[in-house]
Amino acid sequence: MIVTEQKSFEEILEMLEGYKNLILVGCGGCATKCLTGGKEQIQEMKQKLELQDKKIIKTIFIDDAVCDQRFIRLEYLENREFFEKADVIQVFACGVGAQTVSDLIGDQILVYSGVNTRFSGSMERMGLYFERCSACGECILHLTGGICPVSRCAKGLLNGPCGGSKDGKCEITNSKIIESKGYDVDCAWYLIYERLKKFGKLDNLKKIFPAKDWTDDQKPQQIVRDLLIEFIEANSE
Amino acid sequence: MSSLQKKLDEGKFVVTAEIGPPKSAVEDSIIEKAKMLKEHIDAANVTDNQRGVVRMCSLAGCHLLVHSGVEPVMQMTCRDRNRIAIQSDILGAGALDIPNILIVTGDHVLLGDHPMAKSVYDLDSIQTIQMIKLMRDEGVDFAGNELKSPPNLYIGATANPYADPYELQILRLEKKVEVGAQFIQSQAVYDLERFEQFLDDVQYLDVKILAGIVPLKSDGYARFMNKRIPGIRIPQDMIDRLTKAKDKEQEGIQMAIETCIELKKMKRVDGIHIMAIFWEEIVPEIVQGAKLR
Ligand code: SF4
Ligand code: SF4
Repeated sequence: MIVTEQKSFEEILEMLEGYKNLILVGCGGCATKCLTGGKEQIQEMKQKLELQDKKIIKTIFIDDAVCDQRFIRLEYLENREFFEKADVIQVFACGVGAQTVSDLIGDQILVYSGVNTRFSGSMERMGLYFERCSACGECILHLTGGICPVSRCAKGLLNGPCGGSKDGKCEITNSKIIESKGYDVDCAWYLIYERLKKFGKLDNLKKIFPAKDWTDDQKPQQIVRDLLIEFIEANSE
Repeated sequence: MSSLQKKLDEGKFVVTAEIGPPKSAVEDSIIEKAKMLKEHIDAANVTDNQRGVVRMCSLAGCHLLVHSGVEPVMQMTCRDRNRIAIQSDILGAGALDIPNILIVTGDHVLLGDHPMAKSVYDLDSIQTIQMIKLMRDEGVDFAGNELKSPPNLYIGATANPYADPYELQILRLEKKVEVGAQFIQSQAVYDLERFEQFLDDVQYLDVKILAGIVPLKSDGYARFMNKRIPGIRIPQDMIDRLTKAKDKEQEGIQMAIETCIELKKMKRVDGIHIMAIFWEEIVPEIVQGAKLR
């Protein structure tokens, strides 16, 4: 999922200064699991903003996910009169969700994000999230025991651990910054090693991983599937 | 042509030392340190923003060494440059008659004085060595485009016998040698037993080995190093020895000399690399004390 953190209420108020009529958008996908844009958070945000003299003309909650533009398009078609009255649409979904809304109606109404998007990660339980993938475009998990060195090694190394790996921990564990956050960082290569050893596959690491081709990581990426092209062609005939 | 390479190939025991460039645009300290060390070492490394702390670049530092009559080893990390920038610096090094290069991964920016910086690591150290060898031996850049005059560099890498997982550290060194590393410099040696084990384990590799020495200034400094410097492992009994000593600096120098004497006895050790971090003035004393040259 895409892991988000809600912006502070002060920051939200600051960006909304001078605007009164708001639409709040929540997301039933990742933002619900991150407790940043779920039904409860939207309700709570509505009350807090109303206390600050804001008018919430509508709250929209997309049960599926805001990043699928078909849902927000439907909302827009059905509730046009509300959209026409709004000064700002404040989206409580990841940056992708916010831009899905802004791609659709951002030229008519201001679209703001109420969250900071942090990373693609897993959720072990409510409130505990781990970064797991940097969308590098060339997945090597089958070679590294299902543990991603691109996103989980602090340096994204592909040919084994750096010289800072100590007692299973990454060298950044010893930085004041990580210390102040109060957690340890496992050395990804230590985890990969233990995993491959268990499966008798340490040989996977003997080959030299060549320099990564970042071509498929240059931004912005887009994908057009053949099936879509075929569909469009079939329907235009 | 690298005289460091020549000496090592001839089987001569060499001594190199690290020179930390200043956080300054004025070059006096490098020239001063070069003068001080000149008679005692075979080459000097200039570090590349070591620990992620901004300092004068190693390319400029090495150029100053060439002019001071000290053969430089240009250190280069993978942390701050992508493959385009690294190759461009390599060509620059060639043009400035810098004969040796040492590739390191580079300490993470979170440990340095710019933790807010974006780190690069486009290539890892193995891929970087691969690239430099390609430039030198095939006369092409990493994308295969021809270089008019390829750089002629003696290529070095690092190894850390004290990092984990040990087996992967050996494997990584094997890969470094496979792609073109000709000499390696070890992380600071304190625990001689583990180092000897390491030498045994890499005996089959065709590479020259310089053992690293980082003299300790005090027990407090040793504890700081253990905690904050990546890859350092100082045994408690050495720290205790410093705690008990009246003159801690002198004791630290004495300990470094003792370690050097032991290292020189080891057959697989081809030289010593002294990293007296911003304490370079003690290098001559260690070299003489341990009769390294
Ligand atoms: S290698 Fe890592 S970053 Fe790349 S796609 Fe796979 S999980 Fe994601
Ligand atoms: S200690 Fe491990 S995880 Fe951290 S940068 Fe080095 S190899 Fe990567």
